Amino acid sequence: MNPQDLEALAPLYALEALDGEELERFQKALQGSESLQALVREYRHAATALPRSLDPVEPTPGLKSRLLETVAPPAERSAPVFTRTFWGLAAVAVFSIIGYSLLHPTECHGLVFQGGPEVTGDLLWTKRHVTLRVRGLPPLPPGKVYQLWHIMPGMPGPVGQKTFVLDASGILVGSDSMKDAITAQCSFAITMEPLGGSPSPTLPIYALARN
Amino acid sequence: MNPLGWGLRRSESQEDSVLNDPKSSDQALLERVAGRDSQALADLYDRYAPVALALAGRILGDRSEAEDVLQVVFTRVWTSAGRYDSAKGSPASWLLSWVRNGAIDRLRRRDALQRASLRAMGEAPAGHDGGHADHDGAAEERERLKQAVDSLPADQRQVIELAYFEGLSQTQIAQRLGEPLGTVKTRVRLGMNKLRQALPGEAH
Repeated sequence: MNPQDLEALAPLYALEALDGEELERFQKALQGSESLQALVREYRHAATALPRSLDPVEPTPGLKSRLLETVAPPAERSAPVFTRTFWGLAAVAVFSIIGYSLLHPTECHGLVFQGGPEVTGDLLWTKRHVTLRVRGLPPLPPGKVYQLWHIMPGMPGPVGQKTFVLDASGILVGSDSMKDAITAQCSFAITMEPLGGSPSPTLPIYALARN
Repeated sequence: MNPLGWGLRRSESQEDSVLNDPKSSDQALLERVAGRDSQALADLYDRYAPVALALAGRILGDRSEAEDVLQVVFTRVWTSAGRYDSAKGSPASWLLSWVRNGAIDRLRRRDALQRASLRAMGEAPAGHDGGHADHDGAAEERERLKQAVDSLPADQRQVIELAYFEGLSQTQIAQRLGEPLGTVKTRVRLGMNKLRQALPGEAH
């Protein structure tokens, strides 16, 4: 591939639209060419015209404070911890697929909640603090709440955390402090429980965020 | 051109002081974030969140999901700012590529039925409650970029938007449009060259 051919592919590469053998050849050539790298950098910058030409949208009030609270949480609060019971197959299934990556304990990380076909959401965590936002959960019947569970390898069962209700938009939004430190091997689950929460989880799991 | 880029929302007097403050360039903010300066993250958020949310909303067609993406991306900025490599692009392109990729990943996870119902709601981000009062300079810059994008021939703009907002490869674009691959390549190249001319240099 001559330099002119490579230059012609640079805008496609910058848009991440290059594929197949051309992508492989371009990436190989890119490693050894500062001029090609500079060209890609220019096209990447040019591509930002697309989002930058959109009308900006003001984020929901509170989103920024939730973000900052997550990355730099206030003084840790005590959290209710209920008795722990073994969660059987659910926990086994979770732990069987957990990767044991090494993460710095003070860093903030994100996990994705999965559940039914309409459930989406994220859980952001630092060592002892989580912020969660889950959409698509079923409406709560009277007398019921959603409860967060912290699942840790080596513990006899999931640790019950705070209970939550859905907001006016049907979204579960909240944060919680953990009594036990969160590690990279931890997972989180949400179940529906009686008002006040339960000492042990009631199946089914409505949403699961796992490492 | 505003050296701080777009999306700046401060009073004029604040703006003057910020413009003269080397600690508030995008690059400098990222360095401060890497040093665990949460105020720098807050400043970066103020600068980029409205455009990042517009981008995620444009891709996802759902404000709530777009805000999820925004929160995850800025959390990743907090954890990964130290890994930013200016050799690979400007801070703006670095951050917005995360937003774009995060939103496209979510888009791909949706099933076809859900996707169809969301698109039926319209292209504008849902729940666009309240305008965005940015600085005049940012508005002018946005208008200039909008004109650059709008001035692209429709066929060139179409292929670029399919790649950028939908994450399609050149082959997928050709299949979607029923056009030869070579035609798609040419349209992308011509259109991107025009955008490149409209955005000379990089804002670090």
